[in-house]
Amino acid sequence: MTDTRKSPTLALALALVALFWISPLSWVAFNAVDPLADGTLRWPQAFGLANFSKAVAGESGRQFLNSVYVALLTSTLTTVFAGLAAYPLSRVRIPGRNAILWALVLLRMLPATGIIVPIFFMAQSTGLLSLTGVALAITMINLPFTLLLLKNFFDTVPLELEEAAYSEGASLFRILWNVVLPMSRAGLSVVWFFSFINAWNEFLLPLIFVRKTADFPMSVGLFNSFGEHSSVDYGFLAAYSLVYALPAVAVYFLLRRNLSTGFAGVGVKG
Amino acid sequence: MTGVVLNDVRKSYGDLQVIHGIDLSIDPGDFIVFVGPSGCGKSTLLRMIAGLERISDGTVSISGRVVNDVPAPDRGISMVFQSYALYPHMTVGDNMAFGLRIRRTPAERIRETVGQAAEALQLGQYIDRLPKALSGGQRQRVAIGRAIVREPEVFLFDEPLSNLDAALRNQTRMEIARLHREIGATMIYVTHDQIEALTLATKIAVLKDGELQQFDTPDRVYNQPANTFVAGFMGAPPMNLVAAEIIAGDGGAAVAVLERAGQPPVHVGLPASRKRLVGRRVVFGLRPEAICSGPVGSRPDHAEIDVDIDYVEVTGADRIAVTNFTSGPFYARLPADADVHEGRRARLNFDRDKINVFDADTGARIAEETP
Amino acid sequence: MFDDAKPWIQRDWKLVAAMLIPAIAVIALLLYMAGWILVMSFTDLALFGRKATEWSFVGFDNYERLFKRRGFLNSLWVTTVFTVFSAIIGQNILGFAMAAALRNTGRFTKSFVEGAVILGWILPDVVAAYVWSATFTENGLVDLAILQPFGIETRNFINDHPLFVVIVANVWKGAAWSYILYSAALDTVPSEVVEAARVDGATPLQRAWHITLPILRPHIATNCLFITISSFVYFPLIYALTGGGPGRKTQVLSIFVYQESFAVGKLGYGSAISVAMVLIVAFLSIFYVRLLKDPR
Repeated sequence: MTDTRKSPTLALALALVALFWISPLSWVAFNAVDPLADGTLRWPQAFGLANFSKAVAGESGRQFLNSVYVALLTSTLTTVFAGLAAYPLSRVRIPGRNAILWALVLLRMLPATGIIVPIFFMAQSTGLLSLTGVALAITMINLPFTLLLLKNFFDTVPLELEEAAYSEGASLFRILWNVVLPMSRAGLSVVWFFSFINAWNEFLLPLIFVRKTADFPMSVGLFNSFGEHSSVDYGFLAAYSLVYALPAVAVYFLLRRNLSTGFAGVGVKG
Repeated sequence: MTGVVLNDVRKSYGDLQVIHGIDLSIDPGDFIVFVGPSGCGKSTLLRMIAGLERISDGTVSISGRVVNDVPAPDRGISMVFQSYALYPHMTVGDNMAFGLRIRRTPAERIRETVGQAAEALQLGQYIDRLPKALSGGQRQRVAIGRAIVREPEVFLFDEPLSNLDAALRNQTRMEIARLHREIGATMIYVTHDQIEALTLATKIAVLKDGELQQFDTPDRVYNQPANTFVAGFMGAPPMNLVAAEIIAGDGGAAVAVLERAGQPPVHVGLPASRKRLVGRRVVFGLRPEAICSGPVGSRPDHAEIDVDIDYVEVTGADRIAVTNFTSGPFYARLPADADVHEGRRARLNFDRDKINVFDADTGARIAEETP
Repeated sequence: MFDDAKPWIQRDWKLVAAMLIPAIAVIALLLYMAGWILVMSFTDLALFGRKATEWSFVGFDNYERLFKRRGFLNSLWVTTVFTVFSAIIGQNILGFAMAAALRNTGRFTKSFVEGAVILGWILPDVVAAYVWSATFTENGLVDLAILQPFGIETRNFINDHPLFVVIVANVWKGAAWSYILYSAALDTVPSEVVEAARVDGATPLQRAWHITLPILRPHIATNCLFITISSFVYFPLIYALTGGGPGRKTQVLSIFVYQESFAVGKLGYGSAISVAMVLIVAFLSIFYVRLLKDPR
């Protein structure tokens, strides 16, 4: 009813909103495609992909793979752990289930910076000051939230489907594999997406865990590059940023349809 | 053939008992309907037979074998759920084949069985569709098809028609009746709808608060309800129930003194078979359709009453008159052309032989005396 | 333990129990670490130097220090300003306004604006920091596109107004969350109720105030709880953008903890700050959960 064509004020407001979100990216976009970029904000003087080839070669390429490793390991572990535990939490009246759920709510609020010190010491003493250690630590920090989220999601899968499968002779494994799992695709996608994005973006843990440039994930790689003010290659930095941002954006658009169903569930119950 | 026997079956959740010792013997090939108001335990009882709820006490036997500890899939039952419980990610064909695949039935045989069932249920052209592409009635048929292909000894239906609209409900009800005729398997069916119960069942089990009120043929449940609860639950509008005292009339015949709110009581002479009731306080029960309009005329076995008509509901075939005869509504189902009008006084009559009498304290039916 | 459970769970209860093990182990580890923080907060443990090995319990010294030294109170203030303006005001109101505005617009407009907002959310923190640093720097986008055309003297915002910069950046980064949540929430408002109010003659503003907002109350409280907490403990964007500076102007609590623990090396003091943060967050949660409940 209120169409943008009929309400110029609304159209203007929405245009401003879009401008606010898009325009800051101009600097990165212009510099990335400009092999002659010098860091100032200006229309590209030339067009070329030289910056991008630098941003995926050598150490940068290595850092890209590091990020992929951390993100995939984290999202897989988180989804598997949370998925396995969420089913019994949703279906079985385990004694103290409410206590467990409350503990999860409280742990979810625990600031990551708050427990970084024990995590660091534990990783140090177990020889996990590495990318694997980073993935394990993120998994640990994510688990309370993802577990609650999936538990709430499983609560919405109708029990009658499982009863039907059971009375047809399906074992627990078959019920999980053939009924619960396909029914929970949206919920699992949300969890997988959350943990993937979290791990892909994670900055603090690798900043503390990893010392060698070749072991950096892209977050720390990028941070380190623009920290060095002496000989900054702005075109490279801009291209590197885009290469770093691309997988996150791609994952979002790939899973978008599943996510919207999943989010609806998250919203109400938190 | 397979019968189902319940022997003092009980169910409790912690200290709360919801099924209080039910005995039922279901003959092979019977179509049994569990009916009762919501919360009466009918679904719980069905789920205990299905093996979805643990049996707290007593035994359930199927084909003479006690199945208390037999897992649901091994009980020889198939269940049709209220929500149909179709697997939304599987096609119609896969939904029906799921149970057979689990039992490692050969693929060729699965295709044959599922194909036959789909044809019989007019689902042949939908076999590769997902449930969400089907109408409510078609989904219902898939659920039934899924039950059929397993060739169970006992079919269990948990309110299978409650998600359908009225027209579809009638049609599906007839299909289920036909299915029972064709297969001849034992069927147990849960509903809160007394019309479904009366039309489908060979025998009805009326439940209330986890206790069996009556287990009998539809005819007897309707015409000779075991107690005032069954009388009030079955039938729409329900049986009229009026408190009465029985006194001795001329020649020792029993006369019911019907209590009325704010008006003098009405005397109704009872048939000879009710002589022994004299002196008792009872509840007098009369089906609305046993009442006719007009004076008694030349029918000596009829009695007449005068009432004020509060309201007339025209249903098409009938007029249902709501009268002030008792403090609650007192219904009379009259022909469409009956001369009754809102706010007018009317004379009604009824057949004395159709009177049901219940004990005032226990509510239990008092049978007629046989000479 | 599984007596009341569904029969297929009872039959395979060992498998079900095994499914719980990884999560329980991880959660136990988290709890253990939380306990560790609590114990450390009563010690003078350091990351390096003599106190790294010869530490001792110091009672409530670290907690006293929270209030005696300038650092903690300054960070608490900065964090509060940051959270109130970027989350509760910025993300929350902007997210709601966008969700409401985009409900009835054409599909193209909606996808475009929504895509732009969500892009900000999806972009990694360090990239966002980089983008905003370029936007607010001397002769950056803001200077060239806004200040210069109006003849206002250009400046380096990151030095002159650092807190403003991180607030704007966080609104940009996080408003999508509120937008998504409110979009889903608005779908749950039954249209009959809104139509009934329209038939009763309520203006759009009255409908929003008397009908939509009260119905959305639980969603608003949930969203505020979520964005308040996540902004309150937010680290990477701010750290990558300003490093907490200049001076202590953007040193939010999470950066303060990080610097006290890993740069200064005072792990005991850092832990005390962490404990204080957890307590504040818990207090905020209780506050919002009470808001969530219906007043009547």
